[in-house]
Amino acid sequence: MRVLGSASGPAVALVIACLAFTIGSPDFLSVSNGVNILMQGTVLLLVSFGMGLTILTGGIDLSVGAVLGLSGVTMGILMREGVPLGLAFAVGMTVASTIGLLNGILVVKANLPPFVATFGTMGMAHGLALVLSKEGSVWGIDPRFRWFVEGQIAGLPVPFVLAITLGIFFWGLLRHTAYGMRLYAIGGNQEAAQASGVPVPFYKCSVYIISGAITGLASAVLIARMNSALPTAGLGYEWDSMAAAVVGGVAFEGGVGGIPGIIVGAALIAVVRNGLNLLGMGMYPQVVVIGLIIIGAFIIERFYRRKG
Amino acid sequence: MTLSRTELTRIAVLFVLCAILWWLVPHFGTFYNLRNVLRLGSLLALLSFGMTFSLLVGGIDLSIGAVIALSGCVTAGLITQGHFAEGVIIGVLIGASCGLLNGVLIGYLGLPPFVATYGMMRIARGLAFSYTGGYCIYGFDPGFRWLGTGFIAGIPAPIFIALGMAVLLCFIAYRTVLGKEIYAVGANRVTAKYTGINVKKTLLIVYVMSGVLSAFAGFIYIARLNAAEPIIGEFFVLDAVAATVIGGTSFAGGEGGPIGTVIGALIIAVLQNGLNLMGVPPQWQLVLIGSVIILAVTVDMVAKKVEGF
Repeated sequence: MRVLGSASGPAVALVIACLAFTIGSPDFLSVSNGVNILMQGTVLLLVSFGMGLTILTGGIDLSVGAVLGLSGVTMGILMREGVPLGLAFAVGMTVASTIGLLNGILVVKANLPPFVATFGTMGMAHGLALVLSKEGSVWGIDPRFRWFVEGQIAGLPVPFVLAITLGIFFWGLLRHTAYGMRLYAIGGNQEAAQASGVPVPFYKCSVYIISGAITGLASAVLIARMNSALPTAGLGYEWDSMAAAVVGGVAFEGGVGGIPGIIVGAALIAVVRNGLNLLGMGMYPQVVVIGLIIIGAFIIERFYRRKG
Repeated sequence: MTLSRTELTRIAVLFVLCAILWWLVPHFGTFYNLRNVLRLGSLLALLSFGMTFSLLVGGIDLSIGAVIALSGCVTAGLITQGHFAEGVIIGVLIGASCGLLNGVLIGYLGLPPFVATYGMMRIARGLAFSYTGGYCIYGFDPGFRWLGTGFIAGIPAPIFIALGMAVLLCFIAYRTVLGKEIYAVGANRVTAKYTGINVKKTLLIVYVMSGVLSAFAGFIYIARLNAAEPIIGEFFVLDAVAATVIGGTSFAGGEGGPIGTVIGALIIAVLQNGLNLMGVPPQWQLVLIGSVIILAVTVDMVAKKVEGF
């Protein structure tokens, strides 16, 4: 519990949700469903790391969902055209990171409010994904690319290894490096950080690049799982990842929250989505229910913070 | 009421844009095409008025497209069953309740506007899909369709509707206490509060207005399409933000207004029409509109910095 810190509330909610779904559906508590949640949850978790970092510095990255689609489509098309796997992956990652860089420049240099800048790039990235894919699914993902979901490292599934490795990496980065400390300082009080010599623009820009890059990595997992790339596949992830971060205790004011909370938050969202599916709830009512749960979480967070 | 310098610059941009297009594509200047541009501009303006007021108080309403889809689908469902008045009234009520919820979340519970309205967007879209089962509802009676397709003396009805709405909203913005309160809240919330303005109530009213205006714009839109489906308005938010921001209403709040939005909507309409005439695919237009928003806001920021010196 001590490790979880502020995430203990959502952790309790996660346990309760798991119990409720176990009682509600006989299929919930099984190895195959566990693997299922893991596969679906990994993409969300990776995106949430990037989203969490931007919120931590007092910003937001609304473009993640569109970038997920764009870099997935980029990788998919290159593979279909016979470009070597590694190169296709690298180009997709570059595209995603470049949009991140653009976000960073718009926020830092043009001084735009983050949600405006990333909202604009969201439209651009989504449009580009539609143009490139001619508004359809991109088939012909190289079978070897499925390593991202089917492969194993030391006997463990790759998505699991990715989630754990990156979780530990970001946790270490935030808690045990000067870089991480400065991000918290910027989120807590930007002027104070600037005055104490932190190059704020550089740090803020870097967070958007990280968010873009990790979204690119997530898109590789996503297209490997679906065995095709869809330009609209990522839409909605900006909302789910925002929810994962905030449910996990990252505050919109910036400077509060951390990786353990984001992991618990993402797990909670993934479990609720999976559980509602198993209970036979249609896709659209699900969107409504999850929307309500998330708004509820935001409201609870507000009250909690006001009291604190 | 006189036009501000920003608005005059925007009008100049509009005319230059028209001249360039006329030169590039001679067909642009024909009566029928200009009439199309004006009709498109009127629809865009109607969509953007709600957005204008939410930006004026320093917020944003990302839910307008989804609210149009939800209220449009429910209204369409009732109208095709022969319940005309009920359809329209319930459509407006749906818009108002979505706005009310946004207003409570933002004004009274203090959620960031883009979070609350983004959530509302997801919820309204989900409800619209649940209501129609994903299907399209089509075939309205001619009386209702007139709102979108009718003519008065050879000029499309939506133009008159948009003009009427613009006059009404200008009156509210520039000539009423509510208007003054909206500008005051947008310019400086704390000062507004200490001057005795009920900030929470003003925010609530603005988001309800945005919801009702969206529902209303939705009527004209579905009447023009002669159909309603749950995916309509997916990119209306981008269009509305673009029209509003290009029209000179700033994201910081307290600056701009409905007149600017009419000009902004015309600029976007001319741009879209021109791109269509030149055969640019709609997906590229999405990319372009995204860039135009960023460009307009950046120019605004730079201009402010320059003035500040």
